[in-house]
Amino acid sequence: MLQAVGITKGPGETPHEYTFISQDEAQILKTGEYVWYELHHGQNQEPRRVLGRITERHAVQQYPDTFLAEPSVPPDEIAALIGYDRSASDLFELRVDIMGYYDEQLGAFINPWIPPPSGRAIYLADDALLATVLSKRKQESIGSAHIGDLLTRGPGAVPIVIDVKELVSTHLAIIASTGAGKSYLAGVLIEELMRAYNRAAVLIIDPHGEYGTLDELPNHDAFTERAANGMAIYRPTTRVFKHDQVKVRLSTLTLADLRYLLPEMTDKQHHLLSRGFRRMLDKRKGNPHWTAQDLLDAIKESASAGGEGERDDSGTIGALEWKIEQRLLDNEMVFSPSHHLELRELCKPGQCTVLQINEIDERDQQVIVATTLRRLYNARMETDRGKVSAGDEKHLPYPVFILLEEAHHFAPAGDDAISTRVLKTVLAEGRKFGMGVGLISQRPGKLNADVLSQCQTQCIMRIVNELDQHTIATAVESVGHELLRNLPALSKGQVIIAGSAVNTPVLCRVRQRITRHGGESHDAPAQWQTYFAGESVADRLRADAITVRNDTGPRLYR
Amino acid sequence: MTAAIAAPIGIIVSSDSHIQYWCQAYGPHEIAVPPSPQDYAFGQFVQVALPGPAAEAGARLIGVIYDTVLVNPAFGSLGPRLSTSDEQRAVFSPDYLTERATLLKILALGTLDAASNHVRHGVPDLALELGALVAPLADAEVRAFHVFADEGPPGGDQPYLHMGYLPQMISERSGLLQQAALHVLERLRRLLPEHQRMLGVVQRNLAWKLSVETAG
Ligand SMILES: Nc1ncnc2c1ncn2[C@@H]1O[C@H](COP(=O)(O)OP(=O)(O)OP(=O)(O)O)[C@@H](O)[C@H]1O
Ligand SMILES: [Mg+2]
Repeated sequence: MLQAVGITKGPGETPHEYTFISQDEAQILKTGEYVWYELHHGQNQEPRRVLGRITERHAVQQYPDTFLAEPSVPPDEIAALIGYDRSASDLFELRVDIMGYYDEQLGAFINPWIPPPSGRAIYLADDALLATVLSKRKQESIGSAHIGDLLTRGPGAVPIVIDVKELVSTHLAIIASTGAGKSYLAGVLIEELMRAYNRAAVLIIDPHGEYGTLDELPNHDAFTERAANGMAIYRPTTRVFKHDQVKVRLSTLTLADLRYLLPEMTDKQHHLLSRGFRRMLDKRKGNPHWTAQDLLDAIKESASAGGEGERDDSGTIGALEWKIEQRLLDNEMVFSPSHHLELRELCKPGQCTVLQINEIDERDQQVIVATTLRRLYNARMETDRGKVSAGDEKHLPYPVFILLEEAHHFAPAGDDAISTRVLKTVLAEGRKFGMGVGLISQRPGKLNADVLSQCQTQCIMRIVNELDQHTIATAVESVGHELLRNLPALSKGQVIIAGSAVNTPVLCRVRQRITRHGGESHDAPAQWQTYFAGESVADRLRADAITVRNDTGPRLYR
Repeated sequence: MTAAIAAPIGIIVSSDSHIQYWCQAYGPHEIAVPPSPQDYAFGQFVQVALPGPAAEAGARLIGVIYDTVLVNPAFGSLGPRLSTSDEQRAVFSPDYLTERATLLKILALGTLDAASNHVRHGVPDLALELGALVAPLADAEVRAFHVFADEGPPGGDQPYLHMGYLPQMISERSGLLQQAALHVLERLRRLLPEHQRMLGVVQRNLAWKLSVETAG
């Protein structure tokens, strides 16, 4: 039997709001909770349930301050003393944002454009209703990602399942202060993408080396799909490339990349570099794989072939050569004349690839990201347009999803990083070619605003900094301001999901990871304690003693 | 009238409304043991038997004295009688004395059923009858009228302190009613030390309203 929780009072400030009154004895009408009323339109039509979200709650009747004067005397008792029934003392006015009634055919909420009349019964939306209308997908169906459950309900009561198709075509941003659980949430998302019902091709750019634990994926039964006879039909693979395996082949660098990589160039040097670069490419038409030496030679040649004025530029050329040697020739850890990771190695359905680019210089990291994204983008575009066929290096016949940690490094606000431009292209055009990006950042204020606003699904977690809250409010229109007011109050692992991958903004409790989380916070006091624990003390004394002996000769200090 | 009401202080002689009555206090010669002025002091609780069958069962109206008026027909008429002393007057003109009276204003606070121990605060259903006897309320009865359990849920069966008539008293225009409420609170604080704190909160609250806010 349905039981009403309140009665509508009247319209709110906007046409999409109404207020209702409730005693809320059971204390269930929290802000963020969902309620509905029945809309009767047309005589022969079924009444519709118009869903709304509570955005504000305040007491209509409050005890006067003087009743609260004596801490040892509960105001309820004073009210009872003067003949007021204490059980009925609370009365609340609740403000509700109308979402609309859910149209299954459209898969969207339809706003009735008129607030309910006064006197309508208001009901609390039950778990089953919410489970069907909040999420775009059914749990464990193809293209679904089960992120967690609705925060205002009990654990597991209302699963929040987001739409992977939207994620890959219109991109995702995960924004929160440090330690709020961004990487953890990203891990959950990756897990979902690797389940048998998604089998995604995922590439993770991991500047902190914290996604290595995803190599547990293949060994977890949750990710394996088995036939009736127990044979594994699907099992995801994980490939982790350490920083010394992540290479940029020189020939994938553009002139702009080179300019970005070489520090503090004069106009003259820029000129020489571009002439040399073009000359080199012209000369090597058939074989595009050039080396740093090829570039150096080409610069020298073009300089000497140049007019009178350029002959006595030896100083300038020398400095340019030195920069190129420094940056490219002596940096074989990152730049290689012949090798890089093949795209098909990098991205493959059912494979999760982690590029651990920690311990690499920040500019080099940006170039790695820029070249990788550009290669993927070109490959996807050319494959999609039928310009390349199977066997070609650029043949990539499936969509890919790229997760970019510390996105503010790769698309910083203000200054123009080489990766920003590529990222903007991918975000703007990626949808046509099946290339989705997930950005993670702890400083929305430091992230390029265009880049942030291109992400149509937003996962926003706890943010304390007011500037960052402001950035979010302006960049993310889909989340109402009332929802964003909750940002500083969120706890670890709680997230507001909004945008195209959900039917309506939801407050979600992120589910538990199946694999381990690689970015655990250090427990400093515990680690200091173990420093003094039993065996390790003896070990260390021995080690210290040896050090001392080595330093000072035969004497042994204890 | 029931025997339960002992040592009456006077009788109901008139009323202003369903809850406001006039009581005329007994004069020196009207009954064997006339009441002392303490018995009808300002803020004193009184009881009056309710009319009809309810009275037999011990149902009484509980009220509070919130005003006193002295009536003197001779006031303003400068006749020769003024020169005679009261003793002479008692001998020569006994009727004259009874024309002087002390009138008490009583506000009905609720009802108390002595037999069933059932208490109700607020406006009583029945009105009083003219001539009904008015008697003071003993301390034990004052306690019984204020500390009792609600019937059944939600109040539970724990007795607690009630002053359900207080809003009525305070909201009345008459300044004396509000002052009487202060007296009642003061009296209950002395009578019910276990509720000292709670009564203190209410009393201070009221005192603030009557003194600071009124003067401010
Ligand atoms: N949903 C969750 N359930 C349980 N623990 C969580 C959850 N989310 C985060 N944590 C824990 O909180 C800590 C910080 O989480 P995480 O590493 O994801 O933070 P972050 O937002 O990525 O921080 P940073 O900006 O520093 O990278 C970790 O120790 C993690 O285990
Ligand atoms: Mg992190």
